[in-house]
Amino acid sequence: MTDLNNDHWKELTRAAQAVRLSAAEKDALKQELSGYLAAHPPRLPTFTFWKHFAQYGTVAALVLTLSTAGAAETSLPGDLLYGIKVNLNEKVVSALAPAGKARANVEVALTTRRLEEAEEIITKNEVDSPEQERSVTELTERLSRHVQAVQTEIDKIKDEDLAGALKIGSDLEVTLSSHGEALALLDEGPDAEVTRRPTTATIRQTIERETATAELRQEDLKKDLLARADASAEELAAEQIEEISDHLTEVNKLINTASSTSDDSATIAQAREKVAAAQELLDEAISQAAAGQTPDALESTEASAKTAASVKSFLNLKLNSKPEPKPSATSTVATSTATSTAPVATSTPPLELVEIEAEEN
Amino acid sequence: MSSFNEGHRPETQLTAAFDSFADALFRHCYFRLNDREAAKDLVQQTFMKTWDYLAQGKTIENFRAFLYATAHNLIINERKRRRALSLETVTENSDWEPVAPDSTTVRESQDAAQRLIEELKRLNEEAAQLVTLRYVDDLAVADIARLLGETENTIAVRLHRALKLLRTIAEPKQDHD
Repeated sequence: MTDLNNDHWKELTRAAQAVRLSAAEKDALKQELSGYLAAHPPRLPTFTFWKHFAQYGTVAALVLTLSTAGAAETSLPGDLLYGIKVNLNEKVVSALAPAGKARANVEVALTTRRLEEAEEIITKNEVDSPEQERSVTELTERLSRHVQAVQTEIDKIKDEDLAGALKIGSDLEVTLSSHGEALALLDEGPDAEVTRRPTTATIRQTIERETATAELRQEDLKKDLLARADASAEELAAEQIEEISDHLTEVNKLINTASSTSDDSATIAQAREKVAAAQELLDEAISQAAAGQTPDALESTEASAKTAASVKSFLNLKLNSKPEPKPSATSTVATSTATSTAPVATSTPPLELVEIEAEEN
Repeated sequence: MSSFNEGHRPETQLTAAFDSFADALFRHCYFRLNDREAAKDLVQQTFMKTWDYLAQGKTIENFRAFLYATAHNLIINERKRRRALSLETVTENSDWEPVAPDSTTVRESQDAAQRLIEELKRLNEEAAQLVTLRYVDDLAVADIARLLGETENTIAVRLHRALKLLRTIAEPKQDHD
């Protein structure tokens, strides 16, 4: 009779234990899984949330009546469901994103999301309230944490993938500066009183501080990349040019959509001017890249990207400040990206799923 | 396994379960199907189905049992789907890449694992599952019994029969080794 402990079986068991997923395979599976989780959020708050809300009886019933996780997606700081949005839905995405590039991209997207929420708070409320001030403080703290998280991930990958780190840093810088620039545009014209509100000032100061830090760090990365003898800087410039070119096409479509749904011709004209400026910078970048002036080309592409991205924020701020019906809550966990281009004539900033890039091991 | 669910959010539970069981599930699926890519796919599907369950607000008392039961059902479906394929084709498609400390160990592991795969092919579905759970997943009889919802005695008897059958296959090989 076969003995359960004989050498034959021990050897087979030992051999079987050597079968496992490689680190790269595991990361890839985890990444796919995180995408699936993002696309299929929990229908109801469970465990901790359930226990927490259960303390409030009727509130719990109300929360459960709503499709909570989906409804939370449109919530803003200070709203009841905001905690679910940032502590549950978004953590679904970030918890499973592998450290490095993928997590950095998630954090950049979450940074953009906080910036869009900030804009929505500014346009939604006419006066500051103590609650709103608290919400804005919480929001700016979260914003800084996301930015810090991006920088942490950049530090992790820069030795192995400097061009990738620079690209992520550039995305962060673009989203920060474009939103800052859009807010600055409100200084001019009839919306100037908005910018004088303390909450707006708090948001702007945070954005300016984070933008300045991101720019400094980006400069260091750029120096390192340009000091390299390989073609990675040229490749990055070419990649950026292509990406911005696509983005400008989308921004133009966005303006056309906005012009057909809004009678604010001054805002549309201002947006078109910005796009023309972004196009000019892009043309300059193309010439510089062709002439082998890679450092200049990188500068121009970044300037073009910032200008193009600021158009979207600007349109959101200007056109969404007038109350309009809210769209129905999305049922997926979604985060905004720096280059998302959904129609602006809604009261909710455009949302799309985060695409997590594969980590290479 | 209670540490996987008490007081934790569903995504945290799933992440913890993935970190703890992905390799073991992959191993189980690999030995049942002898196909690395299909095994990876099944592991993914197992976790997705587990998430679907958690996302409905349901709780899982024993994650390991739940994952193995889900994987087992998927394996059955997969085997039905590919029953038309010949064993030779399946073997050719397998991509054996064990992770082991040195090349000698790799070779030895490959040989031993390949022998086990060949032996499992001779067994029926139920016996192959039991032998895999016992010798690939290294589970105790009591754990297998809990997992399959049978008594320890029943599992021990079935395993005994499977091993008896396998012995008749394995012994001539061992003699040659």
